[in-house]
Amino acid sequence: MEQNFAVPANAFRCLIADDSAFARSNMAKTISTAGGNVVGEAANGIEAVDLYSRLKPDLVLLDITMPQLDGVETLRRIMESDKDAKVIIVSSLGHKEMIWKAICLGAKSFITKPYKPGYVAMMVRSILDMKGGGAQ
Amino acid sequence: MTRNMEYLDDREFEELKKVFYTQAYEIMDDLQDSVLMLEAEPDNVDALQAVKRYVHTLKGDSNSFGLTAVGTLCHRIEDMLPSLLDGKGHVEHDAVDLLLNSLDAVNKLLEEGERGAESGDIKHIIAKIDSFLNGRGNPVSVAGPLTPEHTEYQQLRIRNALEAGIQLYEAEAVFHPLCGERSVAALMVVQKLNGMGQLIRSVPDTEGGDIDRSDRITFFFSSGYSVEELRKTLFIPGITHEITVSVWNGAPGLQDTSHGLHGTGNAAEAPGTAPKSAAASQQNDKSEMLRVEASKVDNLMNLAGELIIAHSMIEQIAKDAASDTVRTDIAARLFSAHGYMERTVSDMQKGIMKMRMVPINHLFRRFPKVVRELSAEKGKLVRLDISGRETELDKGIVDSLWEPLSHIIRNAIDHGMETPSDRRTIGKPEEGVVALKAFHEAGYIVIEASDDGKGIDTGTLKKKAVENGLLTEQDIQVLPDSGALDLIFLPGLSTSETVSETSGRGIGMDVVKSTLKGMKGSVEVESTPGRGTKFTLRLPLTLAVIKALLIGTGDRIYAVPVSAVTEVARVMQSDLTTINGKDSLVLRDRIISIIRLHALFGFPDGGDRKKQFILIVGIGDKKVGLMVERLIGQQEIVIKAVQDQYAGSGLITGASILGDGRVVLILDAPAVVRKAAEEESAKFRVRDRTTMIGDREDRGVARRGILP
Repeated sequence: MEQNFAVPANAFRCLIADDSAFARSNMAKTISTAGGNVVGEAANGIEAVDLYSRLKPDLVLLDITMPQLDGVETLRRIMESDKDAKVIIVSSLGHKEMIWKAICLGAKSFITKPYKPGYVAMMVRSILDMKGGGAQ
Repeated sequence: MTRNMEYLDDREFEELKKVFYTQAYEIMDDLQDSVLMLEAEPDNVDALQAVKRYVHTLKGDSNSFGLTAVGTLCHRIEDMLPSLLDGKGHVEHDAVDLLLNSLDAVNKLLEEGERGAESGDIKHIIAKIDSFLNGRGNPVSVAGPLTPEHTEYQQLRIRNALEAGIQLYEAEAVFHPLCGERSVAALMVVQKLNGMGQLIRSVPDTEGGDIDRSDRITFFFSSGYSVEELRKTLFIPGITHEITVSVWNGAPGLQDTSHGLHGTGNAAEAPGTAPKSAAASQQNDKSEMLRVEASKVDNLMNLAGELIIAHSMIEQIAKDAASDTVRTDIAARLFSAHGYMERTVSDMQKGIMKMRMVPINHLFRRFPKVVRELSAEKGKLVRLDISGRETELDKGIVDSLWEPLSHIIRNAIDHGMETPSDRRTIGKPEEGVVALKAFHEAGYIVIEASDDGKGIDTGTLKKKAVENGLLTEQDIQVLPDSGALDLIFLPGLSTSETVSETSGRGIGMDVVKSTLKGMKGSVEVESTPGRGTKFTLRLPLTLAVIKALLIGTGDRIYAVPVSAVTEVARVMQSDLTTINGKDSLVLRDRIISIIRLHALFGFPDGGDRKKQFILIVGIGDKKVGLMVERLIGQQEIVIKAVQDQYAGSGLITGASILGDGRVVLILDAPAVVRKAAEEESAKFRVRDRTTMIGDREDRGVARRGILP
């Protein structure tokens, strides 16, 4: 799904990937409260990779457990297509191994569910403020 | 429930709530399927991964949504998932039972949450899980004792650093309070450290279980960077909260390690449980699905119905125009427009109908649990065979089939199935089989529910019928066995010797029958003593539009569903023979009794009886010839509900409107066949007797037309 609506010019463009429709709408609302513009929502990894290359968002919020392509593999492909991609892993508790793998592959940070919108906003801002390189 | 998302307005919250519950119930259904699949195929890795993923998603969503009771319970369920399989890859049935119980509890919590009720107590079920896990020696992981001394390797690194003149540092990082995975956070800090120096040691260890319960971590390392540079780099927004860096002299001094621990009880996650979801769930991928409210589809369906009527109106106008010699060109154009519209409307209607179709597995998948629980409760050994899961039928029908079908299945296990020892004695395998089978047949969906149990004893049935005053001894004498079986559909006839909680008294096969009839379907039973019983449920594929044969008698027009007509014959009066005082037709060596359309509804004979048509109407292997004066044609008609007050005939299933505005009544084919059979055995009139008994005793049971 691609989305387009009028937003302030300084809003960051964000792609949300999560197989749970509930989680997506929840995150979308969180992102808009954080001043972001959700330009796309992907329900699986393949969609996420595809949408990333088409939309080139400023930020990706990527669920770690997804059908077809899990979060780690999705991240790997996004990073291959754009080494400067800014991806934040979103996961519920209990996935530390996959989160860690994602961090090693270049994810900038991670957020565990349930999250507080303020926390996400702070995390997102700090990642966007980083210059290129990121966590490495 | 605490509302977790205070940043949403009421409308947004209601929207999210809808999404949450719809999805949660779907997950629960899929989850249950996967658990049962795993139990049947312990080596099914995909099923195990799917189970893990479903529980995990539900946990995450519930916590986010604020339904923390579900989140907490799911968390404990995750803890027990590794116990589902023992070391040898066999299923632990105790664990599966407990898991299913826990899922029931989750379902209940979800229902309570949706109703806005207070969440029930989950302590009980959590205690069960805890005691189960403890009983297996799976305590919450306990970290090994910390060694205050440096290991030899650590000492070597300290020595190397000192010799090379590299500064030693001690840095304490306090985790951000909202950071969920401290072990990952710690590793992220280590990653940064490794870019700036060499890590010697951390307390607690980044690999241990303690880290997740700790609110801070201390690193000992060597680095060429300054305190300030280090402090800046180790601060990772959202991950670390506070960083204190100081110069370190290399002495151990690490004894005080407990200060960072705060007991969050079950926060420890067993390593190695992280599910890999990639391939496991491909078949369950719902990303292509669009959820639409059923009422919207119904509305479209009705509109399509109206279009079909409009389209027959055009056809009618075209026909009228064609009979006018001046307007042949208009007629031709109308016919071509009509043809175009016909295709479009038909495609559209099929498309909408498909939207309403769901695989019957939505219904079937609820049965493994029923069979499992009930057979355990009754001490029976029962295997459930399901076939034709993918058979599609109308969503509305699926939903209303649960009750009748589960009644039949419960009966089969409770009364039909013998105990394992009885089965052994009579030479049957100890494990009985209950089978559910679905398939399409001539515009109908057929569902067979069979068992290989002891069958229905018609002798007992007859006896009961007499005892309950439903039949007289004389009736019994002339009642054929096939008719006797149908007695189970009479209200107030409990077939079991012992009335049990399972089948109960009062709710019986009569309700099954009336439910099916309400859906324009039918139910039949066959049984062989000692071999088993088979119920056949037959339902129209869809409720709204059917292809019908229009027939007429006098100036009245009726419609018969084409699917019920096997053959049409044109006959002369001389072709008929009289058998037992009834008109009959001999058709390919088979005697088919004839019933006249006008006689069915008590109209006078239409007159010319020399040439008439006979529709062979068949339901199952019962056939009857319906004699009509006129055959008008075949047409798609829209079924409109109609109050069946037509002389209380019970023979009408609905009405429709034709292109010229005339109203036709749609014949209920199974009812017509039954009526014919009823007239055949004139001596046997259960219908009248039941009505009479009902009047006398006021049984509180609806007095419908009863078979046979």
